[in-house]
Amino acid sequence: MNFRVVMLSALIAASSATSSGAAPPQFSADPKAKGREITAESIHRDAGFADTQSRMTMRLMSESGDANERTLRMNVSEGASDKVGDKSLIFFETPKDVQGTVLLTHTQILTADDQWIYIPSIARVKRISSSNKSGPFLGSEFAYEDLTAQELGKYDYRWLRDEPCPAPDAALQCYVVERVPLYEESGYKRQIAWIDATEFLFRKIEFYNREDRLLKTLTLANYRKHNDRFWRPYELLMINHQSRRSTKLSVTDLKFRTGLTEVDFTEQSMERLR
Amino acid sequence: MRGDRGTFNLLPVLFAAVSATAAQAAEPEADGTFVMRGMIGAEVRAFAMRPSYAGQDRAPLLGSLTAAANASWTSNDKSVVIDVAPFLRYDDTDRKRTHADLREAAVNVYGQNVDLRLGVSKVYWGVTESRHIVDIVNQSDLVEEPEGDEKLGQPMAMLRGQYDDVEATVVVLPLFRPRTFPGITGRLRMTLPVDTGNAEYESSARTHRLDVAGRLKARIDDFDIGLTYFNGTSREPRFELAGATVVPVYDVIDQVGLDVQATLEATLLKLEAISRDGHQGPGARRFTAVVAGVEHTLSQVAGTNCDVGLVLEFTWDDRPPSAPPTIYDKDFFFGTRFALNDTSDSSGLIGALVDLDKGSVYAKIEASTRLGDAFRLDVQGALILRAGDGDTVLEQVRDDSFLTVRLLHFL
Repeated sequence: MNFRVVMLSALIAASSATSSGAAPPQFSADPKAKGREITAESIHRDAGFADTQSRMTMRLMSESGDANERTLRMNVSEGASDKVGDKSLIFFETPKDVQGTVLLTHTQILTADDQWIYIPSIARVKRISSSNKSGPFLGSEFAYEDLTAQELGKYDYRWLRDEPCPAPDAALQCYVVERVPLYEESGYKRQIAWIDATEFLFRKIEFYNREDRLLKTLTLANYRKHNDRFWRPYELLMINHQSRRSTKLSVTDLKFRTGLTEVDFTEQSMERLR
Repeated sequence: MRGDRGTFNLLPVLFAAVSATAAQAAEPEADGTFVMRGMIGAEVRAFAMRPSYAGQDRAPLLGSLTAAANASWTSNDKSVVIDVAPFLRYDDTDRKRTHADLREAAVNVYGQNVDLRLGVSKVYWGVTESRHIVDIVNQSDLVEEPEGDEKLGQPMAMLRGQYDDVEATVVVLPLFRPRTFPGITGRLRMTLPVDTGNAEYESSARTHRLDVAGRLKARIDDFDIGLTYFNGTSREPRFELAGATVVPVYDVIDQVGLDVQATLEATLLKLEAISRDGHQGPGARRFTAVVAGVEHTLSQVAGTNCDVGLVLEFTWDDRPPSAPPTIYDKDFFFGTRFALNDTSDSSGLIGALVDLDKGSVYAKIEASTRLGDAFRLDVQGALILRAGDGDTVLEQVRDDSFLTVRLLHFL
C-alpha cells in the first residue's frame, strides 16, 4: 500500500538537468524485452528519491454523484537497494471517527508485505495479514495492489505500440505496454499502461479483471517536478467502469528528502503521531 | 467510594507535575502543533428480560450520555507529545455508571531508540481476541461494558527502548485504580451489591503500592513473541461476603506472561499464556491460563468487497475457586468478523463462547457503520443463551441479555 506506488509509481523521470544531452534509451526489438526495458527506465529515473512526506485527499464518488472525502498523511522511505522494499506509513486525518489510525507497510520484494495497524482508542498496534491484495483501500476504487510499490519483478511485460498519449497530453508520444501480474492473488488478468517517451511518466493505466473485461481506468495528471528531478502526479483519477464509481486522489502537499529514517517506520513510531 | 475519590484527587496533581516538566522541555520552541477533537454519544440499552434482583431498574430501555475529548500537543521537532483525554458518562439509572475518568494525561518524550512516558495513560499487551490475559497494566472500567475491555487511565512512568526488532519496556505504576462496578440499580451486576468503598488490599500501602511491569518483545520473521512480567496489586479482585454485600479484595500478585503471533499470509496463529501466583483465600495456589487460536481471513467473499474473518480460540484456566472468578475456564470461542469495505467502513463481529464443562453459551454481536462525515452508529449485544450449573459468573447475569445502540458524534 505504498502510495509511492501510484503517486510515484508513475515512475518518474530525470529532469532535463540530469538527462539533457543524454541519448534517448535504446530498446530491444523483441516486444517482451522492450516492454520491460521501458518500465525499467521509468523506475530507474525515480531511484534515489530517499523519502517523501505528503498530505492528500481522497474523494470517493458514487454513480449518483454523492461524494465522500477523506484526508491522509503519508510518509515514504525508499528501500536502500533493489533488494529492500520501500516503507510507508499512512496517518488518517478524516473522517473524524478514524482520526489517528495509522497503517504501516514494509514492502517486500519476493514475500508478502509486513503490515501493522495502530488503533488509537485502545492504544493497540496489531500486526495484520497483507495477503488481501485485490481488496479496496478505504472503500475506494483503488485496490491495495494498485498502491504498492512498482517493483519491476512483479510483472511480465510486452510492448504493444507507440501512439500519442491520452488527452490532455496528446502532444506527447507514449509507449503502450501490457503487463501481467506475476504475484499471487492479483485481481487482474492484465494491465495496459501508457508511458510517455519524454520523461517516462505513467499517464494512464487500464485494469482488466480476471475475466479479461475492462474494470478500471487510472489517469495520472498534473505532474510536478521536485528537487529538479523527481516527477509526481498531483491528481490521480480511478474510474470503475463496472460499478460506475470513481475515486480522485489529490496531493495537497509533498516534500522530498525530509530526513526520515528507519526509526520513523517502526511499530513504535506509529504511536508517536497525532 | 473512598478509594475512587483518593485516586481522583491525585490525578490533577500528577498531571500538573507532568505539564510543568513538559513546559520546560519544550521551552525553546513554544509553538508546536495542537490537535483537538471531541466526541459526544447517546445510547440506549434494551433488555429482553426483567431484572433478577431487588433494587434494579425495571425499565426495559435504559439511556446514557457520554462525552470525551482528546487534546494533543506536539513540539516542533516532534520529540515531545502531550495528551489529555477526559471521559464522562451520565447514566439515566445507575449512579455508579455515571462517572468521569482521565483516560490520558501524559507527556511523552521521544528519542531515537528510547521513549519515556510520564502521566496517566494506556498500555496494551497481547494478541488474542476472545480474552486478554497478558494485558495487565490498565484496570477495567467495568461499568462501560461487561467484558472489561474498556480501560481506566493508569498513572505510570514508562521507559521503552528498541534495538532492531527487539523492544524492551519497563513500567512503574505508583497508583492503583480500583475496578468500577455497576451499582445496585444497574443491570449486569452481581447478585449482591459490590461495596467498592470498603475494598480490601493485601498491601498495607493499599492503592499506593509501587507496582512494576515489564515486557520484552521480539519480531523474528513471521513471528512476534512477547514475554511479560508483573508484580503488583491484581487488577482482578476476589470477592468476600460482608453481610448483604460483597467487598472486592485486591491481592498482590506475581505474573509472567507469554504472547505469540505468527502472521502467515491470510492466517494468524495466536497464543497467550500466563502463570500467576499470590492470590489469597482457601486453596489458593499458583495457576495457569492459556488462550490459543487461529484467525483466517477470506477476502472479497462471493464476488463482493466484503472480507470475512473466521476466529476460533480455545481458552483454559485452572485457577482455584477462591481466585477471582472467570467465565473462561475451559471454553471455545467461535467468531466471524466482517468488513464490508464500503465508504462507511462498516464492520462487525458475531461470536459465541461455549463452556465445555458447564455447558454455558454466551453469544455476542458488534456492528458499526459511519453516518455522514461525523457520526458513527454502533450496535453491541450480549446474549446469555445458557448459564450452566456452577457457572457462577454467568448465572448472576443470566437475565441481562442486552442490545446497546449508540450514536456517536465526532466534533
